Amino acid sequence: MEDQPLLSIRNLTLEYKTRKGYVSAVDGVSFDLMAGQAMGLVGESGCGKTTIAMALMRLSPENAIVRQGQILLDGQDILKFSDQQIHDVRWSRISMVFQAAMNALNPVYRVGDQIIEALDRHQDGMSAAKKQERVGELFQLVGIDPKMISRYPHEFSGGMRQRAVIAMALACNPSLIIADEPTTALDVIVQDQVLRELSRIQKDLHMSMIYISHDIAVIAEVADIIGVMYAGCLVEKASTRTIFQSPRHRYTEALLSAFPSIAGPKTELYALPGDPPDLLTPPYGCRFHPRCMYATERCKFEKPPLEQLEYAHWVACWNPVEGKIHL
Amino acid sequence: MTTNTPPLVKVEGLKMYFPVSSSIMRQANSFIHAVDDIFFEIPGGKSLALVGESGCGKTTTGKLLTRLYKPTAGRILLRDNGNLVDLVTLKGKNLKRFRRHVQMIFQDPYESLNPRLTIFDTVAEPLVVQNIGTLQEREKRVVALLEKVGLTPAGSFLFRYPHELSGGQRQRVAIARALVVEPHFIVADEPTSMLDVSIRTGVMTLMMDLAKDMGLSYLYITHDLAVARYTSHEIAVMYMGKIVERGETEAMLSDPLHPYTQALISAVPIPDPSIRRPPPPIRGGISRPIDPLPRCRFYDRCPKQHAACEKEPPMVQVDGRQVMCWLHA
Repeated sequence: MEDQPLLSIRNLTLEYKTRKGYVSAVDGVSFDLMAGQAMGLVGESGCGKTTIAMALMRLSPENAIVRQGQILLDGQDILKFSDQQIHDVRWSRISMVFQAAMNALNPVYRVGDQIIEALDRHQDGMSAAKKQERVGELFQLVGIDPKMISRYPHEFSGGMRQRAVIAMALACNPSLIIADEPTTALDVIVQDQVLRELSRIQKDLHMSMIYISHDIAVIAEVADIIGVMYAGCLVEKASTRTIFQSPRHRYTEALLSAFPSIAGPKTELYALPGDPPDLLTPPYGCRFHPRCMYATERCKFEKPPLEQLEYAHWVACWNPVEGKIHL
Repeated sequence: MTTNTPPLVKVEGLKMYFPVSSSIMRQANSFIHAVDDIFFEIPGGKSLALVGESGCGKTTTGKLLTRLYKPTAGRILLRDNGNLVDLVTLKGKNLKRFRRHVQMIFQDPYESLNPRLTIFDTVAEPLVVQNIGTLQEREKRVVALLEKVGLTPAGSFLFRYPHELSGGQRQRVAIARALVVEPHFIVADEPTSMLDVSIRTGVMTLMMDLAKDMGLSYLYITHDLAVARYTSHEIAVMYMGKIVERGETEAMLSDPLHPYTQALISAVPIPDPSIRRPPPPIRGGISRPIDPLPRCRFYDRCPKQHAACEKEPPMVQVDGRQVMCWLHA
């Protein structure tokens, strides 16, 4: 693997301007993503995961203000790109699979034509016949019968629509795909099929992937590394195995023990007290301290930095969980 | 499973067909068999999880049990002072009286609370409808309940509005509202699926604790088998309007008998990266039960399909489990 990361987010801090004040949606988030790596970004609603995705695509809403930080794609800061430059990057180098596949397709155009539209933007030299052929290839890649090319979105089932949206994201061979809750609206059997497909394509084409989900079980199955977010901060980042076997941040630990599973012995679930904070007035110091059993005076006043506690295991906590010895 | 006391709820041959009409003038000649001849019972103090994918009929079943729908056929028996009363035949005053005993909790706490009512008015509304108690008594009851569902101090919540509360707090209000008339039976339709993990566990635990304290039974409708595991004594799996398997929760999860249950369980993601699941043994996708053929509903998708499956399978007992599959008949 190359040393240079494909994507490097440095100290990204972003606020939304609202009538009530500034909402601190993302606060000093930094992480690297290597080519071919699949990263999972987990956290609860409002923790900033979708905000980061939108910033990566430069599709943030108008009231979003980037206070500081960089988003480096192959070493270039895309936050500084002109509109023309970002047009060239979007879909062809970074693309996105949206959360609500039901709404991501235009109901009055044929699905195939919508994918051709994406091709038109970026592959001008391609002949019409070639484009048709490419759409057929893409359909096959995501497991849709190519006969469906000239059908309308309403003729597709939920799972098929999600696959079509994935095909669209793949159209211009991007090196990074962001999948924002790609299977949240799907039933469990269809979810399984779509996730397997997505994960297989990511590995076959050696793409980088950021999976965004609130469902830690979904992330466990598809991601190589996991970033855990809480209230706008990245609180822990490590390999998927490490996160599950030896979480060090108190929030990650609580999240894992709150999650019910159908496998293994039925363990007691842990209910985290309180609610996530209102980010109009985020807590001082560590944003998790009001809900943390292990909070000390220091946690109330000083924000813990994201530090590397072990090799490739980053944690932002003043009183981290004791590390387990890996065998 | 067999006890001397009659079950709290007993459902027999329940059916709900919705017409698929082509125009207003013509009588419908096709029907969606949303709920098609289902049987189950829930003993007092126990809970049954109704599990299945969207469109399988689980929500329709919930709405039938609360009589928000009138069934096409079948009986819904509820124990009342030792006698079983058929809810389907109830009308007017009697139907209203029955609503004291059966309450419902909905999925979306943002939609199910009236934004113009204070928390006190919301929780007290069933008491007003049922004409129970004086204002002072109602207030006492509401305060006690709010404390019980973890909204403390209750006084600080009484005169707030839903928009001032978080999702988890709203769902607690919805639970308090359901409990205020002291029902025996609650239909909970995906009560935690809109909530975040850290909040969800608290609400689930609360519901279980309340059931124990107050001797409540739930019909817990959910698409999430892991949630069913933590909330219910028994699980019933629905597929295209039929209950295809029903049995004790842990036994079902560790050894599912029906091929659909097997597929469903094996598709659930596991929060443990050291486990690699094989793909679920199932073909194709789900379709709508419009005038289904008289054969096994799972016929087209079943990996173990054989000649006998062309006929409708009977519900059979296997080790205290009920299964609707020719492999076990």
